Amino acid sequence: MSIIEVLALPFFQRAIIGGIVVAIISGLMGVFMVLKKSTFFGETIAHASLTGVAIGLLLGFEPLLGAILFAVFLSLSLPWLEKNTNLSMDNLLGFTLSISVGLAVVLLSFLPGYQPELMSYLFGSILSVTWSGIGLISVFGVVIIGVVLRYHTLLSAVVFDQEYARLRGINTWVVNALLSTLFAITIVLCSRLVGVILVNALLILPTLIARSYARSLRELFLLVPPIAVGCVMLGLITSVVINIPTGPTIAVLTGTIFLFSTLIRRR
Amino acid sequence: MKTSSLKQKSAAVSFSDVSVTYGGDKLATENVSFTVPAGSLTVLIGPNGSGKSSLLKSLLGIVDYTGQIQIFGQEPRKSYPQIGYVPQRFSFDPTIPITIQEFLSISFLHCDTPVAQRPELLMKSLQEFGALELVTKQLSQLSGGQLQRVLLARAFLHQPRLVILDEPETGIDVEGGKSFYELLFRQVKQAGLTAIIASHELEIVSKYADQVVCINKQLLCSGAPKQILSSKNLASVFGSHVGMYVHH
Repeated sequence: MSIIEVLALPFFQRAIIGGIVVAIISGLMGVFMVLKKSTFFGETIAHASLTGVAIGLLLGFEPLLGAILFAVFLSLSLPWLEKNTNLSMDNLLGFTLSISVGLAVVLLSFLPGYQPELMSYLFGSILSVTWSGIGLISVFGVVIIGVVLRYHTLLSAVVFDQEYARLRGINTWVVNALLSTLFAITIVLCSRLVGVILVNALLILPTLIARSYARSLRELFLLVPPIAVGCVMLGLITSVVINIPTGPTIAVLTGTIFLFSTLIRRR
Repeated sequence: MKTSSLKQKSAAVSFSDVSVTYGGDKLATENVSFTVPAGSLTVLIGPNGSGKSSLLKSLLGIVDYTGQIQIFGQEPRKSYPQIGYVPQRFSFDPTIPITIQEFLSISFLHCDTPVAQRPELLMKSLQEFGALELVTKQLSQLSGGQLQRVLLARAFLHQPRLVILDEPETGIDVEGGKSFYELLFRQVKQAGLTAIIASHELEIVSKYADQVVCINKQLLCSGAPKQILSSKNLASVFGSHVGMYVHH
């Protein structure tokens, strides 16, 4: 099938729209995740969101919403637990990661028959997203982009030097809670595209690619979204033309681009 | 400045029976009480692990403490926006390409200065600390001494009333440390600020400080440099093997 033929297909058009929105927000939030060194946090929230999917399916509402709500709940709870118990974030993330996937599978076992939703969230299913799903992705996407555009200086300041921000009178707890919420939503939307297992490929790698070339923080924020969009579009088109899974294709191509860009930069 | 006239000035900062304990049982400081007169330069001296940094961190609300601390006559939290702080160690990810201009621009938090005037204020602050030529460099490209100057410029960005520096000579060579302190003290004196510095540079302390406070878990002595920096006092603070050597 040629690219022109593929572009005419409605499911592919939905995938392009969803892919562009998810790529932009994952690029922007990925910069903050790298600044905050929250890679493992993102990985854990992605896996834990499967429990939200299972809860959504069991209770009969949109699993994407269930995933987002559960991810947001965890993103806010884990820092609170770290502060109020003697458990380190590393311990908490390890516990959450190991329990959450098991809990999701157990909950889904109460539903009759094979559960394709689990597989679609594990490996991504942007090609099967509906117009209502696109609507949900777009609404969240606009909110995240709007918050980042409006508050990027404040978010950067808190992430870069939280102690200084606190002394300047910023309620860093609120800002960190906002960041955690935005991370959670972005991670779940990314999972829809590349799957829970590969979400870090889209969240982190575009930032690492751009970091080699950016000469300032501003350039970094400007470079990351187009790099992320380019990787997603390339992966999307390649997967449909060759007929291979989309999520893993995006992850592999993004990883390959990162590798080459690093090697070229070193020369 | 003589101790008697120092005592006549109102207290900018007061510590009353301040104790800092880590993890419930590791004592950092115990029942420390002293005041820092307004417009004076107070230096905390003591060996490593004596509690100097812990005292400064308790003042800034970074660590919990028992006792009472007041800044400008009120609880510390209300005075934070009037404080400029340079930490002992400033850690950041060196792979992030943030320029000095961006680093200082994102530091304009809760600031009344109109946005249009901020670039000029930023440049002025860098110029005052001999760091103007660094404005387009990335944070990761700076030497230890250059980074300290930039952190100092940041601390003065909001025109503070109180500046707190925790061993600012860390990571700087001897000559760099001298010029750094001279710049700092000139700015402090010109603006009539109150400054509290934890330092190991006793020669510089003796030259510029109005008050020296000796800490080794507890308050051992405090007063004018000429009174405090005697061999007997230094021995009680640092141990009998310590003496003062002048850098050439």
